[in-house]
Amino acid sequence: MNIDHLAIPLQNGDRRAFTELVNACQTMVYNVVLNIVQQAEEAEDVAQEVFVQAFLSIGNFRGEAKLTTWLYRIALSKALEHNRKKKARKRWGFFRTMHLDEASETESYFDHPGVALDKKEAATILFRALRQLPEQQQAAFMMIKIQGMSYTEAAEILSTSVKGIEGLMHRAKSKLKSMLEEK
Amino acid sequence: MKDIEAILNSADGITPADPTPFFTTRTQARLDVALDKKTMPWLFAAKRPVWVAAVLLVCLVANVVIIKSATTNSIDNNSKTTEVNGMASEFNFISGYSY
Repeated sequence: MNIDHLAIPLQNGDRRAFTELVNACQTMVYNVVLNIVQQAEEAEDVAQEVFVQAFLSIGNFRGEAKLTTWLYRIALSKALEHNRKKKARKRWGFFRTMHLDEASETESYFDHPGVALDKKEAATILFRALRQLPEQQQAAFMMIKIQGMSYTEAAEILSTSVKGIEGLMHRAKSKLKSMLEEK
Repeated sequence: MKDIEAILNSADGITPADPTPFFTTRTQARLDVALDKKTMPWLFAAKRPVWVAAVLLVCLVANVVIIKSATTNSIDNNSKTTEVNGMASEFNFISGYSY
């Protein structure tokens, strides 16, 4: 998917180019956000916010990376920011509704619509464990294992080297393993 | 151990989920709101009841202060004029001139 030709019309405020961008990239952006946020309605809300943010800050796009890479970065940072805010809200509300929050945290699970039926149960456990990882490891694991990206592509998005991604993946896997062994 | 590997590999070959059919329309509507907010921030402030209440309260207080100060000034001026004129007539200053 090459949408680089949309960069200049978008910088000129062309709304048709915006519609084309949304139509071309909505599935990609939605899935990046969905895998991090793990809640369909919230993911759609954040994904819409990603496109709005992209249109408003397209002036900052210098063409050093592909437009899709730039959009992917916005999606990733917005999704992680959403989770951070959600965690902060929970932390503040903890004193008021201590038991309720604890219950909802343990009971809430994510059922990804794209997982094969025979893997549903295992995937639910995986997604729950993924939430406990540090942000960078979470992002690397999501891009490579869930979205099937290459290490090079993931390195470009996270603005790091391939070795850096390998390190993140190694730490993510061993942390996930130890978390799953505990259960 | 085998179970853990199965869990770790459970997301392999996952098919992407589709957003709702109204995604594009909703995103466009959201952009309209964001652009309006950028160009006319006062309009969004005016839509919040707390801002409307605050503006009304400021107007009310300003009215009360202005009316009160105007009334006090006119009373003060009248009493001062009477006092000065009284003194002028008492000391036989130029008659018919109002100080």
